[in-house]
Amino acid sequence: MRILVCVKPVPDPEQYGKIQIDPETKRLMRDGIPMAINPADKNALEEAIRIRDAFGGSITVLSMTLPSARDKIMESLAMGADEAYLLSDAAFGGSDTYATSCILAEAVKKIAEETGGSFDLILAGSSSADGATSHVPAQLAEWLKLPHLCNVNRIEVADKANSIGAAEGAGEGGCVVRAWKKTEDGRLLFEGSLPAVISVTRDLNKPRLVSAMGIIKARKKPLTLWSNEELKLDPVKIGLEGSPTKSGKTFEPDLARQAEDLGSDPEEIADKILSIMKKAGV
Amino acid sequence: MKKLQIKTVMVFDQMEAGSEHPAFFQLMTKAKELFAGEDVRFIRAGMALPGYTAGTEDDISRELENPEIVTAFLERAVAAYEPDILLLAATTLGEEVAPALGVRLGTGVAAHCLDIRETEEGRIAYIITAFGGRSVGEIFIPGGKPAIATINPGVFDGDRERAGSFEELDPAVLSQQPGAEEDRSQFAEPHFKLTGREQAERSADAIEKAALVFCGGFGIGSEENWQKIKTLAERTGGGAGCTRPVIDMGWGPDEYAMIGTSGKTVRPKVYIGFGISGASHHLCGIKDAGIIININNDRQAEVFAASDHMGVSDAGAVLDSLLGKL
Repeated sequence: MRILVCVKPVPDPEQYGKIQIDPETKRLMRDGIPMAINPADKNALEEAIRIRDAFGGSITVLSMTLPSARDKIMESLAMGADEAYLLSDAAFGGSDTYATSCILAEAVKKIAEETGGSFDLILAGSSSADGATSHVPAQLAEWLKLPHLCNVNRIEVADKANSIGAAEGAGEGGCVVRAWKKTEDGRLLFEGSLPAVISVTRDLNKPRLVSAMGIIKARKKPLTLWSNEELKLDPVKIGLEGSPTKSGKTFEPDLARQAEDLGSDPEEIADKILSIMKKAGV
Repeated sequence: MKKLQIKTVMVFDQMEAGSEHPAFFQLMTKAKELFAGEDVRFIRAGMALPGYTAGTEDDISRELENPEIVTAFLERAVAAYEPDILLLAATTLGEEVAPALGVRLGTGVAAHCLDIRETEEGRIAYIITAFGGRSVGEIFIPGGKPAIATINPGVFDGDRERAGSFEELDPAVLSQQPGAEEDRSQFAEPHFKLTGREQAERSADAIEKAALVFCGGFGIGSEENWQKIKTLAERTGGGAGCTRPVIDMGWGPDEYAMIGTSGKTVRPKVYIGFGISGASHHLCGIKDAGIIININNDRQAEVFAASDHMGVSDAGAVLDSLLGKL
């Protein structure tokens, strides 16, 4: 089983309260906020490790990020991935999800080509903490012409020999997968065959912590840096130019209200709340 | 794209229990308001199309919930009607279909919009959030056709009456499209087959539709206090919501109860928060509430700056007092 996991280093979501907008330039000031692996991507990596440990195979981590976030990619190797590819180039800067997923897809193809084998399963967090569009997993799958299922919080993989009844159509020797997609009011169970792209939510599993042994082992694992010199993508198709969405002005949301003080005595507060509720007709 | 260039707006309707989805009316209402007085064609892209999608009721419900099938269907609908804008509710279905369509059609997608508006230069701007609601920004989709946008249910106010009239898709028109035959075989044999369904404990839209919402944050401090919030909601017919830490702490609720940019958007008449710190991603999810009341024992809590009424007190004690009176 060959698994690829997409990992995105993001400014630590625990510290978004510190982000301010420069009143002059309208740019986000995120200095001093450390980077972290996007939380849901850790769940994707954890699931990949469990599947690999059950079926054998390897895990490749793929990330498009700044070279300075290399330690986050090392962290994913320390968690248990076997190798990593870090894509970084000024030409990739300013890419929206359309261009980003295109770059990732080209990298996936190139890795498969150079290592002589395609991926059976591609996993990613369903949403990033910073941009939170949830676009990239489905878009990566579309570029690769692979089936996708997003927002999944339970995955079961079985090889064809242990085929799970209803899932037909698995390729010869291929695996079948059962995946539970979360909806607004529950979950839908889908069954299909691999290869596929699946994006996962944070309640899928509990990501393991990095161990000292893991950190030592990570140093010996291959981490490949690719710029556009290796990927050779047409500059028109990537970065700002290749992005169909363009950013305009940035501003702080106006959420301010004038708060009237209800005091601090619980009984008094409760009485006042009841009278507000009554007045509002609820 | 300039507002004047918009000639056709398509709104996807994912349907609910055989009828229009409430979010469809919200999006259509918004589209009508945005293009009021303009010569614009409004189309409802509803999927249960006898003569195009499958025949039996069972098949229809399986098709309606499968992102792969919905994507193929909308691809065909866009080819047939050539809309300039396509709006989808940002349900877990819409969230998967919209970006997939973006790649297939070579166009841009604005995710989880808070608003769609016309700028001073007459351009259509999609307002999105980033960094958990800390920042709000404009997105333009100048060259893409259609410009695609997803909007969380509840973000726009709207209903059947205000949505007014609109065109329906014509199965005969779709059937003439190249690829329509392949659609039917894909509808019957999708790669991922829907084979099971689980209903969450709480009903789907309780907090989105409730006129009164009680909400717990990290400051409630215990599972016991979360139970009190649930009891209050049950007694008053209101909804019980929470913020991310309450789920992470394992005090009871699951993600279906989470309110905020990555959860539900609510617009109750009255919202009462307990132990909410005031993280912007949560505040973005309640910003359209009629009256916002917050109880927090920290007078400096950020949430008070976004509240109409504030009580500086222990959340558990106020919950007890309320339970004693209701």
